[in-house]
Amino acid sequence: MSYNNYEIVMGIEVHVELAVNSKLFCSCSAKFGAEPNENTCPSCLGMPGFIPHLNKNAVELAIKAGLVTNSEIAERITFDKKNYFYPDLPSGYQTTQWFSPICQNGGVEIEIKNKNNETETKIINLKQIHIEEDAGKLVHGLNQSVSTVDYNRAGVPLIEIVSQPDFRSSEEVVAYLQKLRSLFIYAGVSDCKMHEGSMRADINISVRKIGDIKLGTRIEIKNMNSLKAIVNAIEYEKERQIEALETGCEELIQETRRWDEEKNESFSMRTKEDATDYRYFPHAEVMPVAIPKEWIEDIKASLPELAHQKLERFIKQYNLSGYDAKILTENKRLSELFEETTDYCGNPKEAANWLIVELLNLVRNDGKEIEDIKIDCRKIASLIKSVLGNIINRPSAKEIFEKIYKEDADPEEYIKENNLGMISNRDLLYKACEEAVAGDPDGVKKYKNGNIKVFGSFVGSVMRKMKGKANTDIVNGILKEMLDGDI
Amino acid sequence: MKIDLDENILVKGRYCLTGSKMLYNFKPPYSAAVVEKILKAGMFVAVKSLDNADAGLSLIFRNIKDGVNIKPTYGTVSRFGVIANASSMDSVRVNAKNLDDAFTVLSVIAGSDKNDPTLYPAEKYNYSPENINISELKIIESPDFKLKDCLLPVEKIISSAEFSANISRFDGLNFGFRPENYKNINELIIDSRSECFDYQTKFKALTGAYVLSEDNFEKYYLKAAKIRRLIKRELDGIFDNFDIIALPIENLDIAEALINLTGFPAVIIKDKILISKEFEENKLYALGRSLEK
Amino acid sequence: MSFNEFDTGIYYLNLDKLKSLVKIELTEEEEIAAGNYFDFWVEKFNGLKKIDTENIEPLINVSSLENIMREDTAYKIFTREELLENAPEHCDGYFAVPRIIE
Repeated sequence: MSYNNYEIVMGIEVHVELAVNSKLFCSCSAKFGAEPNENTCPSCLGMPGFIPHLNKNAVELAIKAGLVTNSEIAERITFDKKNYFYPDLPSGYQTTQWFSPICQNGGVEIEIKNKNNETETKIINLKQIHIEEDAGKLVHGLNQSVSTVDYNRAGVPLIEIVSQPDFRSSEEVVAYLQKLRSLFIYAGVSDCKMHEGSMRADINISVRKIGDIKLGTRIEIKNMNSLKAIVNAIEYEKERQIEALETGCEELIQETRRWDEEKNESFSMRTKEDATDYRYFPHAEVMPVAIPKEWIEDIKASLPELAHQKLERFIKQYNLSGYDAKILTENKRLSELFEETTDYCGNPKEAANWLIVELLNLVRNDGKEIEDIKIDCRKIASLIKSVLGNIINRPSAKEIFEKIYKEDADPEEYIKENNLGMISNRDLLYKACEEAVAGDPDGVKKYKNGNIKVFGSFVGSVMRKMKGKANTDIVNGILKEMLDGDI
Repeated sequence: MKIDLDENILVKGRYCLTGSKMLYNFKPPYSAAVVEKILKAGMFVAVKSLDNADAGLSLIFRNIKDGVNIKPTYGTVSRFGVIANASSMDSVRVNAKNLDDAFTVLSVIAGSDKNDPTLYPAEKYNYSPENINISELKIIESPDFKLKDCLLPVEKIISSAEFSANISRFDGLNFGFRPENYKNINELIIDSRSECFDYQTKFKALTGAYVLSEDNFEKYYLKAAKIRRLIKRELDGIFDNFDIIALPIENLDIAEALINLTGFPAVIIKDKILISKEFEENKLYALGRSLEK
Repeated sequence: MSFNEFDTGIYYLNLDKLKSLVKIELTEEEEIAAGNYFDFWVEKFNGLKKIDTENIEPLINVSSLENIMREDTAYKIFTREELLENAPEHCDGYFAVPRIIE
């Protein structure tokens, strides 16, 4: 069923765990992956008598988040208590910023393809960014009669980025999340790993007939753990809501629903008797924080070069195409690998090529992220030098690159051990080309009739005779002479 | 010197004997800062046990029949390890037989603590009455001030709000009392709290929820907080012209509210409550001494 | 329960909702006493309305201290065992609570 007269309207709340060493109000480690409840103390367990002590770095990272999203930074912030009971909330309240969010009115520029497949930019407006503490983690299933709680995450500082309802498609949502991720990783705000929970998105979705000004019933979807799940959830909800409005098969109520990626459906979460009253009020034990202009300027000056600045620099400094520069700078780590490799080998174009074509491919096939892999740029540089110095040909180099990636192989050793040194002896190569051409008269005919593709099979034939080690430039030259020059 | 601790003050490895059943089996792995300071100063701490309740110096305000009570300037004695009541008002107090003893203990427990970052620097504290000339002190007895009638309701609103949030941690989940039978987690929490809290605690919690609820937040909590600022202003104004406010012990509840809302220090001695500006405990000491004689 | 009006002294009290928010139950006697308690105090609270607080900032903490922050260093003081000691129920390093159905 396709309902073309409806549009989907979405707002997103993104929770991002800040890249801090310790928690927001106590000195427990905030690092991911520890044994259950190893990173806890009486304070974040809700035991009585502890006084919260605000983590300065958390405030600075939140300001950085505001700076890279062009937000207004508050002059003075306070913290508030949000009151409710749940086992993952040790104190019976969450400390957040209800009355004075640290940032407001920012915007994030995204690039999307329009109907004509042209790239367009759109600005997603942000309502606010505020600091809050994370809750613990409920772990079900270890035991049938109990639910178990791990409080390592309780008290870890988060920022919540609240957008305006500016999204009109799942593509825009994905572009936004990727851009936000890139901005925050670049600025050192967070590592934004969705699969580790350091970046989570809740989406508010409503549908309305195109042309309507009034917003439809707003439904919140939670529990999407990957970009793919987010896209699936949005598409599912769009259909479900439109169908509900068109056919009346179900009533749309303002509620929170849970996305089940396995079942590919959203489910209504158990609604409480009444919508709960959080009774927000100021946290009297956390003293206000004044944020003077000088502090913001210091933080701004300490921001590393951001993606778009790097892109411009890469184009100028390394004479790269805009396309290559964009791919290299979209991911901070990739940009660093590029510069390091270029430092060692002195040839940015080669470095760009190997990273964009070979490395990204290998990483993607592994299902990994660039941030997760280890690779020795010196070795890539050595490989590049071998190619440029005509010691090996490109097909061999490709094979070696994969060995560097997978096994940290040393290119020089590998070339020696496997005897991959390129054969550049013209006489030998000439002989092999002669044999290749003589052995395939049909092919010659096809080539002369305009079938250029068949050239490759001659090259392939020569390469096989030379066990893959022929200097491809020379072979190409010889073959062309033979095939073009012959009558 | 042997010092009795009020039940709100936690001692490492000792069962906590608050009146509430909630913490009956809670053994904190940490001691309150005031306890550490007392022990470091070579004084003894008598921890109440179920069998014997020692007499001696007790370290929090109670209805005193005789003796003196000091409530120090808010923000001068560490609240670490003290079960929070209303955080913006809580003050560890000293109750003693005489002022000298009381101020000796206060000098020990006041001052910086790595676990309470909200304390004022110790340079500001003044506990020696030596240089105060009593005859030059300007004292006003039972001053009339506009907002006197607001003190009790404002204190009630703010302390209930803070209290209700501070006791939300007592849910029987991670520590504390857990009843025998419960069908589900919601029942567990309700039963733990309902069995353990006395009616005063319950009413305070309910009042807190009431004044903070969406419909009431502005007209009660926020209003009270604004009036609190006016009260502080008005009292600051009185202290521009006077050193000490003296109130009769009959007005204890009003005095309490005033002290709690403003953070001013006070000494309760004989049948008088003496209140001064922040960091002027030395004046209270000096005047109090003369009353002691 | 009656509807709210500052001046007439009648006010709206949903005691059941408040009880569910703070998760407590009252005995019969406590219910009655609570009613009286609220009658007494809400009247006093309503008396605050006549004070002019226009343009007055609320006073949350009398302390004048600001920007109280610490360096971002992590350290551990208590062992997990120490912290689990007070737990009514725990298993394998986790705190255990009655099964929650989501």
